[in-house]
Amino acid sequence: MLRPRLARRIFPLLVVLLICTFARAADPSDALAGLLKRLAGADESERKAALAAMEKDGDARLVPALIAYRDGLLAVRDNQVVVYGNRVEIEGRGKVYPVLDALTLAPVTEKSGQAHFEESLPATVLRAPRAVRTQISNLISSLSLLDPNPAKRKAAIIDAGDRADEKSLASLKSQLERDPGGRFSAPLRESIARIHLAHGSREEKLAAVGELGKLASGNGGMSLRKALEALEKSPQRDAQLEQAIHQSLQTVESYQKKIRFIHNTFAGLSLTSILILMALGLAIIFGLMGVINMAHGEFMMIGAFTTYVVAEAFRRHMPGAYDWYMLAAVPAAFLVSAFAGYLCERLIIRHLYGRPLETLLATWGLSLILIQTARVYFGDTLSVASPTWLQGGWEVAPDLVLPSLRLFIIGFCAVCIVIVYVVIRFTSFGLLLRATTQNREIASALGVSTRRVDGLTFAFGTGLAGLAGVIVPLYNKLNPNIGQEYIVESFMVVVVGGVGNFFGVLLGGAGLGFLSKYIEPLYQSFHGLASSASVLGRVTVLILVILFLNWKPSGLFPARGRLADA
Amino acid sequence: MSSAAVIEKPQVDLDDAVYSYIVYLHKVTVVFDGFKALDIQSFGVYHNDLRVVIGPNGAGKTTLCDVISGKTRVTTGRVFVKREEVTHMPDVDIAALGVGRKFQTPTVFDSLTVYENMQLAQPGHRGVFANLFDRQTPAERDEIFSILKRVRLEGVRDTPARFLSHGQRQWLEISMLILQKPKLLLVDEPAAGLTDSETELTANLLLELKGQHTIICIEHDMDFVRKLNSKITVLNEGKILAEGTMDQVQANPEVIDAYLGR
Amino acid sequence: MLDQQVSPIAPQDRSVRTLRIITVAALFSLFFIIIPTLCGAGIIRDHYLNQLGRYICFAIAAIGIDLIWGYTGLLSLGQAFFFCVGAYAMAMHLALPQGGGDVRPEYNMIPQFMFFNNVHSLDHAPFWIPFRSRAFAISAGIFLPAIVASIFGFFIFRSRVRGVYFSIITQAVAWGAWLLVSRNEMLLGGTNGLTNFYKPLNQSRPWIVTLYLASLTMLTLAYLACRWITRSSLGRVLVAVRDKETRLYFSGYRPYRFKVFAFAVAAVLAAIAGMLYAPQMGIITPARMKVEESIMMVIWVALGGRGRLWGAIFGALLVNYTYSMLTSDMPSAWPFIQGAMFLAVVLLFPQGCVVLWDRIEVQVANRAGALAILAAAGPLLAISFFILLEALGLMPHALRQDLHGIQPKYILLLIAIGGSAFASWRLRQSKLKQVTAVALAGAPLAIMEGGAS
Repeated sequence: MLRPRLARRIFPLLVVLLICTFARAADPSDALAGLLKRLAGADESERKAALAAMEKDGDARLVPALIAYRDGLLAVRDNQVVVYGNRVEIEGRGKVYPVLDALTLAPVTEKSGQAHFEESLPATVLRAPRAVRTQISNLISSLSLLDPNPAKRKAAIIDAGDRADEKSLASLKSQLERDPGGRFSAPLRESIARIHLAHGSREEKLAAVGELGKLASGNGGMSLRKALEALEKSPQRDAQLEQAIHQSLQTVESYQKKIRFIHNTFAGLSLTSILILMALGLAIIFGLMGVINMAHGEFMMIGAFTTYVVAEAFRRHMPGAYDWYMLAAVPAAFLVSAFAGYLCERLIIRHLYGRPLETLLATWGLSLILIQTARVYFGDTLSVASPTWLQGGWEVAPDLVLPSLRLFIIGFCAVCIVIVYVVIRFTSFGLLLRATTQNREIASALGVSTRRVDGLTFAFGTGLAGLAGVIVPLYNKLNPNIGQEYIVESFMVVVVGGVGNFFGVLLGGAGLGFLSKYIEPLYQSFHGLASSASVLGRVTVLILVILFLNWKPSGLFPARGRLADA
Repeated sequence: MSSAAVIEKPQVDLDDAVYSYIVYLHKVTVVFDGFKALDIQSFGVYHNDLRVVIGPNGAGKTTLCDVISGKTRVTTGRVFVKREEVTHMPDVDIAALGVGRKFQTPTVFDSLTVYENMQLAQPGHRGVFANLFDRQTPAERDEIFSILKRVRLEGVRDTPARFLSHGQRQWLEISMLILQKPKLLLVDEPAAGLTDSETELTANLLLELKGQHTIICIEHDMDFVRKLNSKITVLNEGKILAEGTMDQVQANPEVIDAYLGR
Repeated sequence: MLDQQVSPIAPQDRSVRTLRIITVAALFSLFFIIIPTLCGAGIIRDHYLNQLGRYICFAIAAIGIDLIWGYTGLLSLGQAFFFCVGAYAMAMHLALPQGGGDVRPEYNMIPQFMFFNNVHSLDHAPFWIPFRSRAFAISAGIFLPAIVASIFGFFIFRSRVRGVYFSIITQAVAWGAWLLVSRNEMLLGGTNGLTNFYKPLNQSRPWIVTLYLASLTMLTLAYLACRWITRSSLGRVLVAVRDKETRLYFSGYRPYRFKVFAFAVAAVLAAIAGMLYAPQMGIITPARMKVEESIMMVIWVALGGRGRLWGAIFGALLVNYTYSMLTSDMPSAWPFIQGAMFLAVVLLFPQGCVVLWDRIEVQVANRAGALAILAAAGPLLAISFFILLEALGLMPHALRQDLHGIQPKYILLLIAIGGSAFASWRLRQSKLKQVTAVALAGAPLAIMEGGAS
């Protein structure tokens, strides 16, 4: 949870960030505006001249306007060149076009200061004549290669390689010469090699094959395979080139194999961390009270809907700070879920101690009620937009991009797990919890209010589920049934780990998470099973769990000694 | 030391010991998470003998029973019952050898009536389909009735066991064991929580059984132990401290230390 | 442990026995003779008899659950899976031309969905071929669940997986099976399931009556078989397993064998129920084997009264008719009521509806007088009568008109239950005039009956 002092430190930082964002956007360029005006003018020769000028010293900022021009979404309005954006739904007006400035893409405002929308495209809209559309498309791609936004620029470079676009070759080469060791050098080299491989001379092709082998990227591998196929079909075979391609392909594939393994590990790690977060709460509750909480998934759902409410509040009332809604959502989700859990414990669970099978039924009934309540209030189709800082990823090596979202999930869960450990191990609440778990009678004889411990523990466990609810909407649609998807596997983790053992849950979660991610690709490699690989992976893990339990019926860390046969 | 006289020398010849005792533990240790609950060099009980095991709390008395009945596995060492090694035998198989057990807290089948509890213990069919087609003979019924009469349970024959008093449950469990006719009977604190007159009856029951079964009885209550008037083994911290008659044991300074010293 | 709600000591009273015989005879003639006759005469519409037949199938499965849960104490959350094994075995036969399936020449005379999975002949789905034979389908429906349950049970029970662990694992297995069967690649129709059986099965009256009677006979047989099991000395061992499994080890029993047996019997009963269900429903989809369905099956037994075989039957009919009524009368309230049902049965009346009957027997045994017996019988009579009218589609129209969002029939039901409960309470304090008692308990029933005839 966030301490007030920490919040005070973060807030100024937030303000500075926001100011920077707005300052950067306001930078109109008169020269480009002039060019656009000429393009949008009536005179055909002017238009050609403008296009030629753009080809010579254009800028990526022209790309949206050019795309709009090509697709017939460009117009002159009140002496301002504007583009019509993607239609959006507005209450009371239906689907409308937003009107944006062609260069800055800032919304065109009415006198009242509100953004301007139009129901339909005006008749004055401009569309490039068929004859120049190809030219414009080429222009768009070559301008995109110089896009100041690094992600877009990189995408454009790779796109040029995908299309093996000879026309981009010069631009790519000059970029590489200008900055040979820069951040774009790998994609540039890749795209140049791919274009050479498609269109170059034999020497160029050989060099390109070597280069692609060195780069070992997946895109390069694709081009290599394509080239090999073409060679094998063509009447004149070229043994030397084929040999070179085979060699390069080998290095590419072995590299890609490693990458896939790391990807699977990484995916397994993020699945694992969510499972562990869910299972920890379950295990704590089960270990302490012998309560099988079938509604655990629904407390996660409560956390997810709390996150949704918080995110919506941010979007409505302070859209600028939307990226930081998580800071409020995390404590809110924890508290709301914990409170709901506390209420349920007081009202229902308390009466069922010592009757595990009955708690199973009662909490199942509870889950039905919670799901239906959520459905009545929120409906079935909601989603929470991820904050922008969770989009994109971290490129560790060529082709190895670790999505920020996953990194965040792993980090978040790791922090939560550490906090849980600290709470259980080093706080007085944790001491009470452990004491009551081990021997309820003795603890209560020593003056521990076991009822209070039960209530707080249940709240703590459900609060953890609520925390899992903060991250689940980041990668999944939000609906009232969301909790049900995790409950079976969370139970498996608890069962494998051994009841009420912290490290058992960690190991069990890791075992299940990684296993299912490693087994899935095995099925993918079988023809005919590929589309069911995910399901088959889960079922295989299930069978393994049952075999495991046959070997160790009480999980990895069973209780031993006097208390074993409770 | 005078105590050395009452401690039996560890049997050098294992075969000999296995042959002469109905139950024999050889160099047995049981370790729970680093804690040594049991550490016995040699422990044997003769056929149809009644042996009382006493010791302070945590001395390993119940663990000793658990090891013999297969509920707990030894960490090292070997266990023999009726000349068969049962060290790694499943508990069910050990029971089938004729080892009966009475738990510390009386465990009977709560929702079955007293009579049905007895029927379950009656020797005979233990298989699924054998039970499905089972019919009780009049002789078997009479046997149950006579035992119930002896433990004064005939009046509550058709009452579910959960309505019985603590003492009645103890007797029901002992009656079930008598009916089961085990070769070796492990009885864990039969007098715990009983009134004086109930204790008396329990002691008499055990003495009656003495000639027909081998019994290992764990007990705290010294009056009860005195009544049984049998050979006693004293356990302390998992080790055998002394073995002998009541008087021998009571005179042993180490035993006095173990009981009073701490 | 409060799991141990068993039958009270049966009063060996002559009048109680007479009451039981009369009730059983009345129920027999009602279900075996009167209802089919009324249907033949067209008074009960075919649709309702078909529905009753299906719900009787559920009752068969419920008996099995009572055997393993009520008696043996094993809460299996995978019974819907076994139900579906039987249902699918039968459905596979029924979907083929040999079983009268509605197949088309343009689809090579095999079930249509196969074409959407690029299977144009049964040779590419070889496991379907033996299902051409009805005998094979039926024996597969019986033996497959028995084998699966035995093998699974053997491994799980022998390693002494117990209590909630067992529940969680059965739940996981059912979940895994549901995931698999929902895939198109399994060639079991994917999420759409199997359908296009011989149409008259659930549309023509002779077939409906036949299948209804078959289900009812099967229910009777299942009841008698389980009654035999529970009253034999095997039944005693099963209860002992529930009470204190560890104690059984030391009496020389091997509890896992008994558990495997009970689990297999329950699985077979569920599968038989499924086999009778599929033709009456006309379709079987994987949605039937979801975890929710299995848990719902448990609630039938819990609400009816576990540890009493007839309680399971009553519970299955009660819950399913409540479901069919409420989903049409107030659909968005059903999940709430369903959830409340779970909570109520666990927190408020863990013994289930059998208690209502026991109260009557107590009154009869005590020779309490007609009035007290009527008051004690009130709730059970009201519920049964209400369900029966609803089940047969004979609920008077006037009682089904919407009255401020609630139908009068529900109000009458509540008055009848509340009235008779109140009447018994006052009678116990002997402060009630006879007329009031009759009015409270009897009037709502009379209104319902009057409207019906």
